[in-house]
Amino acid sequence: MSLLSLHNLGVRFGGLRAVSDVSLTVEQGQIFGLLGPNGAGKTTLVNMISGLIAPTEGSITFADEAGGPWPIDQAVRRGIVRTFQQTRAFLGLTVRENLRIAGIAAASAPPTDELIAAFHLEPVLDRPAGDLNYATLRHLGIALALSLRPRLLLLDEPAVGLTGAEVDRLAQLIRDWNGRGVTVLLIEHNVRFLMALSHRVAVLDRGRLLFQGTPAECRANPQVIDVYLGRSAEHA
Amino acid sequence: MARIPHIALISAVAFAAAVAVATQMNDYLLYVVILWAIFASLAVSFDVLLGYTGYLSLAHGALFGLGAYTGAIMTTRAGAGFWLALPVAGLVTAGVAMVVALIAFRTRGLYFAVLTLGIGLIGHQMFLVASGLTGGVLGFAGIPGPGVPSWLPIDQNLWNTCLALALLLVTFLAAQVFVRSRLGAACIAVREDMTLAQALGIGISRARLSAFIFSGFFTGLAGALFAAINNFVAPESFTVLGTGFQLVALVVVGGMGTLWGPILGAALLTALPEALRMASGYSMLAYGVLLLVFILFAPKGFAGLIQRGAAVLRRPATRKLSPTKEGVR
Repeated sequence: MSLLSLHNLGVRFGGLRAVSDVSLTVEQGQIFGLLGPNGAGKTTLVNMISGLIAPTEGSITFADEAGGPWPIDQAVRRGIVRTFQQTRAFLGLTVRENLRIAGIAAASAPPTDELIAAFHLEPVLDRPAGDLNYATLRHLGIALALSLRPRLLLLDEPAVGLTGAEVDRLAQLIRDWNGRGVTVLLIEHNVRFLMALSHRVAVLDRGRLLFQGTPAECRANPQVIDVYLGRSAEHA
Repeated sequence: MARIPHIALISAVAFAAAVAVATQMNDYLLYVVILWAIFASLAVSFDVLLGYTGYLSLAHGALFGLGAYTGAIMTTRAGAGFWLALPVAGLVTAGVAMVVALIAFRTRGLYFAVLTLGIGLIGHQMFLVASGLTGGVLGFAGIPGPGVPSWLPIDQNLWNTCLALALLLVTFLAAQVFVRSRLGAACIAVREDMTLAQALGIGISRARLSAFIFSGFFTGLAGALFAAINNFVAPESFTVLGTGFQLVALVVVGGMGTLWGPILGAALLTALPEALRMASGYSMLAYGVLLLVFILFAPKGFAGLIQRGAAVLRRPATRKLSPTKEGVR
């Protein structure tokens, strides 16, 4: 059952066509990976899906409801929640206050205790978010998004800047929350991380959809290898 | 975070203590207390906007004047009693504040401040030119004061003091309830990171509009009480460069985003000119130096100094890893 469908989605910024004619489907319960070189339009696509910017062409269907994308507050009400490439948290507030504020727009009681336990936030609850180390701050950013009990979680490069062990731990957390019914659309430059997590992947190149399929099919696709993965991927 | 019933209890005790002390004061000191309480009410309601949403409004001097003139016109021209004029002044000011906010929130940061500065200047000019209603530059005299209830055996000055303190109590408690509500949390999110707030589905427009209207309502109440107690108002009391910036100073010196800090800020900045009345030439100089000292050495104001002191006292016993735990916002 499809949760999110993009129909010929695209956006122009003046004369620049940043994303063009992207159509793809994310099934309910999937982790869907989105790959592409820098400037391919991945974050722009997430910005459109989440309602942060309006597309100039195409539309979205979410949970059988046509007419999207919606403004960001309406998208959140429908269960589409995102994180940011550069982690955002309320840096002047404590972790506890961050979680309290993040929960105010939640349709139902936020799973704060579960998030604190899952993301190991207990020892830092009373520390300002601005004082957290990088990995914990990234965890907090994802926990804030999960406070809203999203149906679709858009993760924009969550593993960037993390060490190997931290990436493994993040992968496990994403799997855990996916196992609880959260569908995930994951943008990531770390190909190994993304391929290991995703049920399906798509590759964007210069704003256009180059490929859509399983990770295995992606690794074997000559166009993807040429444009993004390189020859070594054939043996990855 | 302290709970509302605890805050209400402590505030009520503080109010009772202040009234008890006031009974021992002469008329001059009572007037100083009245000024402090009215400006503290203004500062607390202004802190809801400035300290909790981060938006700097310079229109509040004019909104204060609007409340004062509305109360004055209601009681002198419309024949209304003080107790009707007071809430009407609050509601009229809140209504105008809403219109101002709807215009001003199209902008952010410096542009918001400059736009509200323009509105503040227009408001002040309106008080001058609409002389048929406001008395123009000569001011509006003969405003009836809040009469002392016949069953209460106190004089007018003490009654005025009680009303001003009661306004401060009500404003402070209402502000505490507001900032602890979902709207208050949304205001904090707006202040901290508007993009993240949007991404979390927080209704930023509703939050900041509510803060502006809240602040406008209590600014109007303070204005009406100020007019009734003085029996006179004039445009010079509501200038941008006077009251408008004074409000900013009260909140900054007291400690933004604390609600109780601006009450201390108002005490300091009301008492200082009175203490230096004998050397009035130095009064504004001292005022300016005080602002400089606070901005340079205590940017979190009085409240920040007190919180830092409390943290230092606690540290040896608990050895907390975190730095200062600023008040829960």
